[in-house]
Amino acid sequence: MTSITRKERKEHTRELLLQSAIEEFSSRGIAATKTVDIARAAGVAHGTVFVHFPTRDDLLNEVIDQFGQEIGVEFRTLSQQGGGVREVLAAQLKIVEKFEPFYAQIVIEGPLLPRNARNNIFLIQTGIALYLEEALARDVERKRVRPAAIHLLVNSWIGTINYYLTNRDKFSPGRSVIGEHGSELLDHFMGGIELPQKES
Amino acid sequence: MGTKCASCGWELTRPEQFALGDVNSLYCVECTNSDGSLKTFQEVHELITADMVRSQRIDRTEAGKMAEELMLRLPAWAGRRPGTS
Repeated sequence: MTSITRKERKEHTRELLLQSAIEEFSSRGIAATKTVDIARAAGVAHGTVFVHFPTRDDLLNEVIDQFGQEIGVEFRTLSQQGGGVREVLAAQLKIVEKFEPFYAQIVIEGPLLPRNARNNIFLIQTGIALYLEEALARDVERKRVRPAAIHLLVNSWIGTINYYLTNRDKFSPGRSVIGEHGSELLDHFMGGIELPQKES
Repeated sequence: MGTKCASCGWELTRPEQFALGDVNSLYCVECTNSDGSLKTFQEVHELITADMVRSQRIDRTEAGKMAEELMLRLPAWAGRRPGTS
């Protein structure tokens, strides 16, 4: 029998709290979720939450960080492989779909979130934008897309995705709006910047 | 690998992203001078602010505030008094 060390048990509890936090923030809404809800969902005492996260905002920021880290891992791989704009946006959609219920709440409650949480979202978007800028430069060089202002490309793409997420109950009730509409949105968006390719 | 730059928070996974290409460095190549030393708070602050403004065209003052708040949470600048950038 394998004995679990104190450190491993602590790490397990932390992971459990993060997972429960994502689920509670997603289903109840971020502002409406209390730390006691998260503790109950995780099956731990209320005080245990604060052993791992001094405040509720720290816990929220950690969940947002996890989302950012997953995006970062996907984008770095793409960057190393020389991916273009389409590949970067497709990778973003993949992660947004994975975190969709939580990310949709972030979008819906955005302006009301604590300042640190909002800042973290903007920082993640800046990271996405910088990878997209690299990808755009590669695609322009390959003559796959026409030059475009990076801020307009980023903001119009995020605006479109966020509109669908905000209204996901209308577009895809009970289902993934990104799963159902993501490919169509990507094709439409790319159609606006892609250059016709000569047939080989 | 998979550490964050202690100055700007950018995730570092490839040797060329670290200062002097040294994976044991705490900082990224962007936050350091050619000799590997950390740039000043003001220099790093300007780099992060410029990235935000260029990539999303958000207000420069607001970008500066966000950059400062980010930096003060990172080990290289923790303990520094806000508003001293």
